Amino acid sequence: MVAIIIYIATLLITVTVVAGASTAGYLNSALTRTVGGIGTQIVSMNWLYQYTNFESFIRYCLQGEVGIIGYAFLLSLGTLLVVWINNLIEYKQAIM
Amino acid sequence: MNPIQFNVLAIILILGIMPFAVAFVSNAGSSTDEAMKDSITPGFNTNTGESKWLNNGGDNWSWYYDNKNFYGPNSYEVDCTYVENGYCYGLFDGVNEYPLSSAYYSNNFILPMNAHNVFQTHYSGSNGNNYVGSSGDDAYGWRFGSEFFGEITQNTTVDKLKFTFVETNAIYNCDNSIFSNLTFEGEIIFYYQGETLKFENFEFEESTKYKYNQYDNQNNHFSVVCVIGFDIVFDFTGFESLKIDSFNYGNWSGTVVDVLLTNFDDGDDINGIGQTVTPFGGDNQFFIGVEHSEINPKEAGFLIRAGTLFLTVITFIIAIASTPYWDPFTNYFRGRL
Repeated sequence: MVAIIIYIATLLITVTVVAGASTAGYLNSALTRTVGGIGTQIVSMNWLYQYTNFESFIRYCLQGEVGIIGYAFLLSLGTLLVVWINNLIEYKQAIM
Repeated sequence: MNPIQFNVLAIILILGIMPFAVAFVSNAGSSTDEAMKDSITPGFNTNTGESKWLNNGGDNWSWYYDNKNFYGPNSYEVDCTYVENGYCYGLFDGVNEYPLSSAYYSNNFILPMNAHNVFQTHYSGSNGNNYVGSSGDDAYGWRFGSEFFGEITQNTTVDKLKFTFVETNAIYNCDNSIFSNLTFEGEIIFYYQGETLKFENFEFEESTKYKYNQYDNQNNHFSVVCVIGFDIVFDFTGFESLKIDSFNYGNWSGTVVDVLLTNFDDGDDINGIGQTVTPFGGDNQFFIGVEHSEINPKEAGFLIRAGTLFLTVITFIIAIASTPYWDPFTNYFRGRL
């Protein structure tokens, strides 16, 4: 479950970066977009897993270590990710 | 702001601000500046019978032990050519245990903290100065019974646990090349009423040069000396400290702790630590000191929950503000970028 949340968040970042770079005139071919996307995904996942305790905090919330407030945080984070995904699809930008 | 700038803002929020805020909340219940306190009660401490060697550096079997008719003056040391997972292996495998000591009397005259005198485990053969075999470069581990944690206040939990390993018998010039820089990994396991709680993947980088004020009995004064030794600190996050508390209910008189150190690497020796002088390798004795910093679990829990609540509210506000129905970001940045 934790991995899914981290994966969605980093996928969001990847799509945002690749779409933004493409709009700015970079990564014009499918190959460069693929390479850029994979690289961004790997870097952002490594950052969240290795250099921050974001993953362990989410795990503690899921395991109930923070009580009901931990679940509320997961709900807020999920809401944020859903809103941004919808915005990216509808309006091509994460924040309106 | 154009769409790209808004997207950059979103990325900064997820990769930068959110992890920072999470780290802040996670450590809200931890004490960072509190001085370490002695964990071992000074004076005589009853041996609970729990404390023992778990691992003493791996297979120490050498040609000297091949003659199984060899009985030294202390045959139990021959029985125990090496210790693995808490049991001796040698003449009798997996039967005997190697206690840390026969009796515990701790004081803070030897080291800066209360410390117990503990046996080293490598047998000294009749050939004189050197102990038989090699130290081994595999895992070292010890089980510490509750006699090592008598000074931890009941109904509290720990933010840090510090273990100091020092061999005080030999003093060296502080520039001596005998000292090494070691890297290794550690794990700590708590036992309480048949249950276990393990924390692993601690990484340590320590010099074996332990510099401290030693009391000189002959001249009746303290002087700074360098001996073989180092200390390791298991630093727990606020969540981990709370987990320890919900595990042993703050009852340290019934808690036993295993410490395991693995994957040793001596940066100064390409052959590993087999020839490295460590405080716990040898055929003599060394000292183990234990210290801790404690936190009130109720306070820590409140701080973490309050921080998480604040983070939750902010995240919800950002989620709503990211929709077209409420655009405080656009209004804020209008005309600025």
